[in-house]
Amino acid sequence: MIALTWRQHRAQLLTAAALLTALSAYLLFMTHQMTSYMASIGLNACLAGHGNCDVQAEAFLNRFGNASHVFSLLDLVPLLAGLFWGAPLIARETERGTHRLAWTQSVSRGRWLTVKLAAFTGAALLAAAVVALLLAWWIRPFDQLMAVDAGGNVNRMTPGVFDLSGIVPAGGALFAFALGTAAGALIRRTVPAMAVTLGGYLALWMPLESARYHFLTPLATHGPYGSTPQVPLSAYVLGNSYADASGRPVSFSVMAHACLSSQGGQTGVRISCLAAKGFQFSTTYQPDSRFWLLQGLQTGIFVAAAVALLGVAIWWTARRIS
Amino acid sequence: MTAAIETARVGRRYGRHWALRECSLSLPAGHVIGLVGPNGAGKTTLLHLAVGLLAPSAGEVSVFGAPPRSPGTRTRVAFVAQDKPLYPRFTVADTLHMGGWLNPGFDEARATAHLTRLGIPLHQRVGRLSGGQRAQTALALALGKRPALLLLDEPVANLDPLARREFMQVLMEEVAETGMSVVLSSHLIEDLERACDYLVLMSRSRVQLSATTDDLLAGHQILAGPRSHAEAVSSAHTIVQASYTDRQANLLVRVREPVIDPAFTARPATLGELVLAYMSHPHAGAAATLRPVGSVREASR
Repeated sequence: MIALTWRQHRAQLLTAAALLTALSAYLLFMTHQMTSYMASIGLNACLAGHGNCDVQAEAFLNRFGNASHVFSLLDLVPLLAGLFWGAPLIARETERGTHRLAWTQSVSRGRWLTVKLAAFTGAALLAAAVVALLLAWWIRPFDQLMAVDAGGNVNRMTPGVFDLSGIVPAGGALFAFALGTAAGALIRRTVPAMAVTLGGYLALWMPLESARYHFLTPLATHGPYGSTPQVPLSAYVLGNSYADASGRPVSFSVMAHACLSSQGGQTGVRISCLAAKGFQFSTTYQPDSRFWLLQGLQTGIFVAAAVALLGVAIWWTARRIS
Repeated sequence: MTAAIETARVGRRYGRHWALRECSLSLPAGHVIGLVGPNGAGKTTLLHLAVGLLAPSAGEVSVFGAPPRSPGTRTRVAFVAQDKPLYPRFTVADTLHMGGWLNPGFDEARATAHLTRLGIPLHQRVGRLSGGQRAQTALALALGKRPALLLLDEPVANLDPLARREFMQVLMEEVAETGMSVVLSSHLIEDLERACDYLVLMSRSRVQLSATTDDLLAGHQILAGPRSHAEAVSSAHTIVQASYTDRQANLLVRVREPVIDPAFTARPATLGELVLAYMSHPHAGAAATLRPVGSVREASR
């Protein structure tokens, strides 16, 4: 059965391996460029010496700051496991009637499905691990810069990077694959199953993009209006808000109305007045220390959905397809 | 001897529609069994139940006395599904390897030698084979299992006459050599007439006839004689189909005793005539209430 799985799906698996190799080569090349540039302008030495590195950091970010845009494209890479591995797994068989060939051999339908699911699940986990490791290496220079407030806007808590870091890509790939497999089993045609996989993946992934930062109540800092909030540099800032003296949240327009003044025909808000009236400025954020907890929660949601979908796919395949 | 396939009041429902109902059959081993009936009669459903692709909605199916999905049965039964599905991107050799990967005791060397003898290129992709070559590959894959029972769903439909003859020839040689049981379905009796020694006729989701062809041929006759005597014939025999001219009656009857009315000439019915008569009168048959039918038109209402 393993031999058949390899013979039947080697093109899909080798294509994925080739794409992953190309991506790895690109990321390794970029990482190499960045680290050698850091060394050549003395940024490494500066960071190690705890000096002021603003000049070197600016040069570095001018050159590589845009590289992080790559990740907004790569965020949906796990979805490919659903589109090209999951959706055709059963649908391509039923489309051609070959399931009637495969399932009437001595090997049972259950074993047929188990081996295929195990093979693709293993491949998906392996690919996700490679992506996460490469990314962890790639992100290090940016992490270093942010850690000393030398500029830059990317770390592992940032939305685009969070999706490809740690264990979330593995969870995403499993979810996508399970969704594709279930859609293929239920719909029995590859292209519609791919469309449903795309829609279903986005339907869970897009809300998670913002919801995941609220799985744990965000931390908040408060200070009088006009002060600078004390937020760790490595944290992901969710938002800023205003509160009145009693701590009740207020909108900016309500707050501003309390301190409107007219001077020489100009209407403006007097900042000193706002502070005097006890208005507060607060910032909510998720600290970097919660990275693995948040990763675990999002991955848990993906894995739970994947398990449920695989259950549906297995049940449906065993009982409802003939 | 255990029956090759035995069904007890088996039914299969799709939503509210019964594709097969109240089917009780005992198909003896060691025969080449033709499963004949019009499209939609339930032939494919019966075959899919027997190979475990489908589970029955009612009743039970057993193959050599065991459930179709049991491991012991899976290794002894081979199936060639309708349209002979194969993986188009596999080569012929890959396809035979697959037989070995999925079946203990698969005789790959023999299957390879057999296809080579037929002149089928082993390194050709299956998707590029001709219809006849593809059918032979599907058959070789099934035979490589050395099955005790081989089921084929419309195996010669879509084949040209030459490929059709070759296919049946290979099949019958294998039957002669191994003594395996075979069930073949077709909606045309002509496809199966020469190969089968047992016939199951299905129509409208039910089994109408199930008997050896010898018994069927011995048990039916076509009578031609005066119309006025037809009533008397119907009291002694079961009229399956009747057609009348002003004075003449042509009757296909199931004979219960020798026809002695000297006014009638009797000749044996061919299998083709017999099947056609039963097919056009779906209520005639062992299980149904038997009654003489007035005319072809009236009866096929």
